[in-house]
Amino acid sequence: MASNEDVDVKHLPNFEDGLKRSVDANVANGPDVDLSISEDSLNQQSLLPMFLTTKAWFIFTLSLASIVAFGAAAWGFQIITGMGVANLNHPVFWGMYIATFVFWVGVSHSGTMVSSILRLVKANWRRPILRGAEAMTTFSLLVAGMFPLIHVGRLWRVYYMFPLPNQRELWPNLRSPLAWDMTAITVYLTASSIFLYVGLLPDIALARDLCPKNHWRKIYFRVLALGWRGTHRQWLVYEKVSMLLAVFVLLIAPSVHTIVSWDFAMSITPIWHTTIFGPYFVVGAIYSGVAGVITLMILLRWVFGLDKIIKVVHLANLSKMLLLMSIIWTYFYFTDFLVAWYANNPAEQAVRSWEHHRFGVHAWLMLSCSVITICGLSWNRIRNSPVMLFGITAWVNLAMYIERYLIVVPVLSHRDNPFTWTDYTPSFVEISIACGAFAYFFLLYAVFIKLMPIVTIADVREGKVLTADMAVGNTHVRVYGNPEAH
Amino acid sequence: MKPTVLGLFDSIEKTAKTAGPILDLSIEKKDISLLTAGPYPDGAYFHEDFHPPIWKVAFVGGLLGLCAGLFIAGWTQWIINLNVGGKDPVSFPVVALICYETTNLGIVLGSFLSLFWFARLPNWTDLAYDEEISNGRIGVLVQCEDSSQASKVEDIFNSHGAIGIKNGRGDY
Amino acid sequence: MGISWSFNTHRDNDYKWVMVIDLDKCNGCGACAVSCQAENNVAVVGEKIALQSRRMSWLRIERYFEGEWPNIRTVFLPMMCQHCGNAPCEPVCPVFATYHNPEGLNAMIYNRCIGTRFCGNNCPYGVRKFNWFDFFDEKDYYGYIPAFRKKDYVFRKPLDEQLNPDVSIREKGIMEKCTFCIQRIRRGKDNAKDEGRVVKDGDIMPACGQSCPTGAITFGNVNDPDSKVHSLAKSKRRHRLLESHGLETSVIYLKGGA
Repeated sequence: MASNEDVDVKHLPNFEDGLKRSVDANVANGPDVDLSISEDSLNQQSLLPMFLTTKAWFIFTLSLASIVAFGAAAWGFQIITGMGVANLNHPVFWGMYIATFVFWVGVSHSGTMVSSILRLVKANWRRPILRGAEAMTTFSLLVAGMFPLIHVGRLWRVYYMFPLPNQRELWPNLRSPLAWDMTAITVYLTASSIFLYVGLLPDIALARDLCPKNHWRKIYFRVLALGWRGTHRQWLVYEKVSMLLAVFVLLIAPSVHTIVSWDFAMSITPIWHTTIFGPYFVVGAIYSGVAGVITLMILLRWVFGLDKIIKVVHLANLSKMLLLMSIIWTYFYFTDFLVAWYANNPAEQAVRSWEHHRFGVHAWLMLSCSVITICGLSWNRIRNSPVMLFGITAWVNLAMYIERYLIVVPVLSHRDNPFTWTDYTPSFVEISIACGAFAYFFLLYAVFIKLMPIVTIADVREGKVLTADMAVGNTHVRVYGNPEAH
Repeated sequence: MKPTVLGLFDSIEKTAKTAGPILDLSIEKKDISLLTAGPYPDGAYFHEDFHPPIWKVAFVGGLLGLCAGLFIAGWTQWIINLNVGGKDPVSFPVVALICYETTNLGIVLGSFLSLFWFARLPNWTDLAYDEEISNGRIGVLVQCEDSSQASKVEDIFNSHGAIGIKNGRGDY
Repeated sequence: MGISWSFNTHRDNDYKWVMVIDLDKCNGCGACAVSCQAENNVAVVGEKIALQSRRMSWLRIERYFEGEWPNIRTVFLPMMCQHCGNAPCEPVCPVFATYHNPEGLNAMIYNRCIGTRFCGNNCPYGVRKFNWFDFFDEKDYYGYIPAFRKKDYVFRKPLDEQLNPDVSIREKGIMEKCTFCIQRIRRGKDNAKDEGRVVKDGDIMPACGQSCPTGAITFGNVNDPDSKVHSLAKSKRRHRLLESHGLETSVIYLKGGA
């Protein structure tokens, strides 16, 4: 047995080497599971983003924190002065805040959903990306959950929305889509946090073991690992529970964005009042979410050098998913516009023509994104190029933000009563808060990476165990074991 | 305070060969644990006689969630009724919707609790363990009746190429 | 009720308040809007905020043009909360800050409002008004920010003496709208109760109707078969706004005669 001192030295990952290493292109572009990687090397590379804190990270995080602080100050200003500091008016009661809310709820959709779908279908390439995707869900939901609070006129009375028993029999109105929304988002945030934590548990235990003695991270790893030892019985329970969670998170996720879409669809506002909104929003959410996962994975590769764990093949597989979603999404655009155009409802036509005149550029930017995504991702070469994928996925999310904005704003400014027609442009305060929220998401993610293992190490290890190269004549084919085959 | 023996191996093949001899010592399966850093398929060491009724806990959680949903959305609508927009006193779609969410939440919370219960977590005491397991080593932890049995287990581990053996007492 | 239109109250009640506005009599003078502002302590927001489309007026005169240029005719439409029977604003409020009261009024509970503004979004008439700032608070928190330097809309002392004591003033961040002068309805009912009778036609008149020089606005209890609104509601000239939404509004417009 190695003594404690030996263990410490041996377990300290060699970070300088990790930083300087030149990534072998063959490894980065290689198959999904690298069978030649040693156990030590797997641990070190997976934990590298946590332990290796560069100056660039500090600069990045501090600049994010300052944007967040500015956004928070803007919010404080809005609370004290009144909602008037936002450029909302009569009758554009909802504006950038709600659009941003819908955007972040949308982004939250794919993380947990992609993760649970890939777990359930036992896709073998899923392994390294699960944690990054699940963390994206939780953090984007945290960001999204702030926006109803930012949006309400009297933040200090927001607890009226909660079902708190009181002697005056004051109760929230559960008929309101906002009450459903609050329920659904609370449920989804709880479920996806649990999902994230259950996935983290073995990796926290692993980080606890690999942490050098007296290292500050060891304290909270020890507490959060709950004494996990990885006994076979624990693993059996763990696998069953993760499967169960995956199924039920998958049941919750679509309901959440359907309910968000009902915030709009349940009203009698033209354009909003349509049955297509439920599936339309869910598909849009998965679309923007998958793009978000790809963007984050590419960033993880670039910033934290996870090239050997998260490989091009993972990005390529995810982008196939994105391609599928973009085709479905384009179909929804088609249906949405076609039906509204064919019905030729004057109130809807008024909104559409206003949208065309006022937001024509935005609309074309949004629509062309679909075309570019479908055409681009059909090329194997583009699917295998992180730079191109980064550009496409960033554009997808920009287009999806515009899409949410165009759902909320043009309708309200030109609705039924022509006398009330007006215009709306977000104010400086609104833009500051939206940017602050954007920075807040990345700040949470950047801090999370420093505190928790960002790679699903236990799953990668299982992949190594269950994968083999089988010789067929003069070549090799990759085979993946299924533990339930026997 | 029963003696425990933890043998460390560097491959699952070597580890698996110790299963037969150790079970031949008439040690019960529940006293033997395989410690790994990743999930291995059941039967990699031996097939466990362990069928945790996780779904039952999840089911109970779901039922409680359903009841909470019915209470929050259904019963309160009935007893604290206000006319809004000329709607009916109780809205069943709303009850269904809230119940769907709370039932799912109950199931998720139930499964989460069952992880704690059946995996015997949390337990922050110093149990028999070695940090090398996180480096991909495989541990076999055996709780023996007495020290003579413990030494037999050690012999089995050594003869099958264990890279380390750790003796302990009590905490299994 | 004797009239073919339904007014959704869902309760048997003596009263169902209805307003009838004769557009053929309306000349667009705006007296109703001014008296509404005075009666209900509606904030006077000043030019700058008004130009941002944030006028607080509960009642406004909408101006439309009929016909093709140059043969056009200007028509006026006094627009206030229509007190819908099937009000779309009510079910969407998550805190019951707006609900349907037994007399068919679309009631607004200021204390309960948290300002989600969903009701405003769901109102097809655009008559719900939101308190973007504290229009009655003299305190100037952010004097150093030029855009908010001067609260020229506040009722400074002694101007606040003109506020109606029967009506509460509203805090920032909450919704408000026409109440059919509910304080006058309450007073009318109280007086009738003191005299041991039900409310007679003409006992209650909202501020807009009281100040209308042409008598275009009639208000009353449509459940009373002898009331003026009851007979006017049967007029052939009657119509409701955006009838296709099926909201069963309590404001009836008369147009097409003369």
